[in-house]
Amino acid sequence: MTENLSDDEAVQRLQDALDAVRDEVRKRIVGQEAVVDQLLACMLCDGNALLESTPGLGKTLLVQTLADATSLSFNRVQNTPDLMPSDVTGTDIVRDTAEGQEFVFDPGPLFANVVLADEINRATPKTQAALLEAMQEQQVTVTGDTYDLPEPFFVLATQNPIEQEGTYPLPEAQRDRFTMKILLDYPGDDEETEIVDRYTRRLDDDIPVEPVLTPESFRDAQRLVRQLPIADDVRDRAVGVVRETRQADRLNYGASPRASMDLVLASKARAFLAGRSHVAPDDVEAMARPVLRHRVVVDFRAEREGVAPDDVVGDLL
Amino acid sequence: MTDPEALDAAVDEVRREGYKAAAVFATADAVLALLAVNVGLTVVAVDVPSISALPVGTEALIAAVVGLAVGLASGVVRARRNGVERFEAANPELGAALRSARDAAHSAHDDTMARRLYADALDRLSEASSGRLLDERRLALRMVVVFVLAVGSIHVTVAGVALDLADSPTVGGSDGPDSDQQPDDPPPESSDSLDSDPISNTDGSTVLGDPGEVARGDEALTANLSDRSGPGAGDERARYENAGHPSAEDISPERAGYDDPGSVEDPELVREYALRMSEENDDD
Repeated sequence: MTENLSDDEAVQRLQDALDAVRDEVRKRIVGQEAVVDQLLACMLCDGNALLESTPGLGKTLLVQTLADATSLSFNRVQNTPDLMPSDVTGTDIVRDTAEGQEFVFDPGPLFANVVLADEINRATPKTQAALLEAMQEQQVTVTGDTYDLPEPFFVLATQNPIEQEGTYPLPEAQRDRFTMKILLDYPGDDEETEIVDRYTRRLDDDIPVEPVLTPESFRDAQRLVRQLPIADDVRDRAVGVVRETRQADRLNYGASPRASMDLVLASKARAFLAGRSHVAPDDVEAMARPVLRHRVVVDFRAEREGVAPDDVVGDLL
Repeated sequence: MTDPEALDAAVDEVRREGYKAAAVFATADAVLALLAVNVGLTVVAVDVPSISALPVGTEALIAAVVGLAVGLASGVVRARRNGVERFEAANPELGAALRSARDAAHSAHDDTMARRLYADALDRLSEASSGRLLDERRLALRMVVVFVLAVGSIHVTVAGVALDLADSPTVGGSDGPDSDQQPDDPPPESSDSLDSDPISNTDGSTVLGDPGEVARGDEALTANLSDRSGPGAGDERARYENAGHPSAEDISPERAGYDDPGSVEDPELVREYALRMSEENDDD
């Protein structure tokens, strides 16, 4: 019983710490509560997220703040067409030592807990593939040697939906590897005023953020999310929604079984963030769009009528 | 008791609460059906053969049987429907947690989050109310209908309301012509017989005509009164002194007779005859 109580207290402490993370993020990010929750849920799923928004909405700041608040190391990769895979993964370099020259591995920017791959659609398919392979395998292989990436490891990639010229859109198979696609919208009137006030009254705009969660605690939270029980009917509903995308009228392609797993896991993460010990049907509904919107392809006729994947998923719900 | 066992016990308790709620509704349904059938049989005046071996009337027996059947059927259906799922639906704040906990216990999950969920579900169960299984509006509606039927049942019995399926309804009090109608008696007179009576449904003015002057007669008769007696018996002077009761000497005492049963040829025949006569007198 004492063990149970201590377990219970540990869970409560973690949930309180995640609340504190959100409070820390609010110090820098105005509004975007849903985006912060989705991003945190994605990280608790041990997943990777595709962030899409127009420039200037604070994607980079948001990801960096999350890393700061969770004591996770953070690296940023600015993707360009001339970016090589070795620029991301790292490479062997010749280094002078006391014993002479030797090849040593110089880790690339992927070796961090949180990697922000800015404008991933500007990288060549080769570099994208290297990045996404590392994301999937949680390890990189350079000149025959395999190196494990740090745990936890997240890739948060951004895309700009406006400028498509000179970009390499991610293929469906690679998009499927992202747990969620999170959309950032413009802030409201009051929020934009607050952003202006907060960042124009001081020369140093680096608002300090307290680390409130350790990487180990974050791993514990990830383990607990997976343990979170889900009722059979709620699970069946999540799987049913994913399966229905394969027969939906206005979709060319539906979502894969990986989407079913991600939807259930994301629902669990949302429930954990809400301090609950069970998954509610609302969790599935809230997570269905972020989990499915980048995995389904709207057919030509629906696209011509302005139907977005979110509309189709919404209809399925 | 481990957490999953405690949860199973709690779920069993929820199931029992569901049975109790089903029993409440089944009882209400049974009473409602009993009263409805009773009123229906009384009003419609169905000719039901009597069962003389029972101390209650046949109509009451039929109503009781129908009420019992309806109550049983309602109880069985509701007991099946009032499972844990209905309890969850009645307590939406508890539903998803209890469902998840039940599924987790069924799958024998015993990790940190499952134990936390069991404790959470048990905690919520202690605060949840099984009273929500009783749909108060429906139960109240049943009570109102039961009350109305009960009052109606008393009224139709006392007032003797009976609806003849062949003709229009007749209504009569306890001292009316049908108040002592027996099931075996011939049906009461139809309304046609009432219509054939020229007095019962006719305006008196129509029968009597308009009031007017009556013509005076012109024949004059003279009545003579005389103290002389007429011829024959009338010549005898009437004497009233001794015309009342006969004197004691005129009455001869007579002892009450007694017939030996042995002298009656067929006592059973006489007895049946006497019973038939008695029944005919009662019917009259």
